[in-house]
Amino acid sequence: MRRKPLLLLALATCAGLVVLHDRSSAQVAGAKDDDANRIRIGFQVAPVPLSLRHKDPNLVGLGSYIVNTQGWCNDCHTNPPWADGHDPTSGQEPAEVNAAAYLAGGTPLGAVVSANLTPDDHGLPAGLTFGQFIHAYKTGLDPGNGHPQISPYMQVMPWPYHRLQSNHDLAAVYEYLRAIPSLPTPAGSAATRQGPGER
Amino acid sequence: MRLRLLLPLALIACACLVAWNGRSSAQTAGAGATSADEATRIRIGFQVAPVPLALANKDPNLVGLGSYLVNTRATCNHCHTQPQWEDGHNPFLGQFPAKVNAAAYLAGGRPFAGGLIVSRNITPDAHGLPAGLTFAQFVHLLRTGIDPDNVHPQLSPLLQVMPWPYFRTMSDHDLAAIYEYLRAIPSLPSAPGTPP
Repeated sequence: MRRKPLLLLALATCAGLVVLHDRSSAQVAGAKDDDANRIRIGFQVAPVPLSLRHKDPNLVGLGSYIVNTQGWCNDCHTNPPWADGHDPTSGQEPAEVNAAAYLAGGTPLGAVVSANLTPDDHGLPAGLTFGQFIHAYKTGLDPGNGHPQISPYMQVMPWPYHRLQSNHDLAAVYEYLRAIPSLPTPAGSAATRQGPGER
Repeated sequence: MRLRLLLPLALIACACLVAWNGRSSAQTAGAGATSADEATRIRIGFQVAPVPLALANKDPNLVGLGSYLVNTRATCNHCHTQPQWEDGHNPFLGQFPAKVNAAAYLAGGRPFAGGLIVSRNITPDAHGLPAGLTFAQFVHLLRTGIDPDNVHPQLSPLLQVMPWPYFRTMSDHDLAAIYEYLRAIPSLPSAPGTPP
C-alpha cells in the first residue's frame, strides 16, 4: 500500500520532465535561426511547380527564398518579368511573375543578353554543373564567354556581391534552379539555348 | 513485490521517453538549417561590410545578418552608391581586389531613366534613422512600394526602380536585420540632386 503513492509520484514527475523538455526544445527551435521560416516562405513564393525528386526539399525552399525575395533574379532573367496585367510596379495587384518564361533569360541589357538559368536536358541549371556554377559566381568569368569583345567577365550579373554568399546558400540557389521547369530561351535571338552565361 | 518491480520499470520507461523526445527535437533543429548556417552568414556579414559599424545599442547578430543580406544578396550598393566601386577597384573590369566605394556608401545619387529617378540616401539621418525612416515606415515602404516622399507623382506613387515587389516577401526577421545594419553604417550627406 505504501508503494502505490510512490509509483504515482514517480510517474507524475516523469510526465512533468517530458513536458518541460518539450517546452525547452520548442524554444530552442524557435530561437535557432529563421531558416525554417525562410523555407516556408520560399515554397509560398515560388511562381512555378517544383520538381522535388532527388532533391533536398529544405535546400530547394531556402533557394526559392533567396532567388525570389532577396536575389531578385527574375528581374533580369525573365523577359518580361511580370505576367501581363500583373506588374506591381504599375500598381497591378495581385503581382504575378511571368511563369511562362520564368528565368529563361533573353532580356536585352545594354550590350548583353541575360542567360537562361533553367535546367537543360541533363537537368543542369544554365547548363552548368555545381562546380561550374560556383566557379562562375566566385570569379565572374562568363562560363560561355558570350561577349569576348566586351569582357571575359559577366557585365550585368551582380556576381561581385553574390559571390560573397556562404557555400550553403549558393548550394540552395543551385538546388532550387534544378527544381524549376526547363524552358527554351525565348525568341529574340534564337528559340534554342545558346550555351551558358551572358551573350 | 509486484509493485517493487513496477516502479523501476516505470522509471526506465520515463527515461526512455525523455531521451526519445530529445532525439526527435534534435532532428527537428537539424532539418533544413542549423544555427551554424546563420552564424556563418553573420560572420561573413561582418567580413564584407565595407564601412566601420556603430554597434552601440544594436543587436550585433542582426547587424551582421543585415550586412550579409545587404552586401551579398540584395546588391543594394549597386544602385544606392554612386559610383559603386572605388577608383581602380571595379571587379566588372577585372580590377581586383574589388573595393566598394566606402566614401559614398549607400548615400544614393545614382540616376535612372535619364535622371527622372535618382536613388535615395539610405544612410542614417541626424536622428539615426536610415533613409530618415522609422522601422515601421521602412517596413511599410518595402511591403507596399509606396514612395514615402512621393517624389515622382508624374510617373507613379510607387517606387519604380527599387525591387520592392521581391523584397516585400522577405521574413520580418530579415527586414529587421537590414534595418539594424543600416542604423549601424556611417551617416553621409546626400549627393546633389538626391531626393529627400
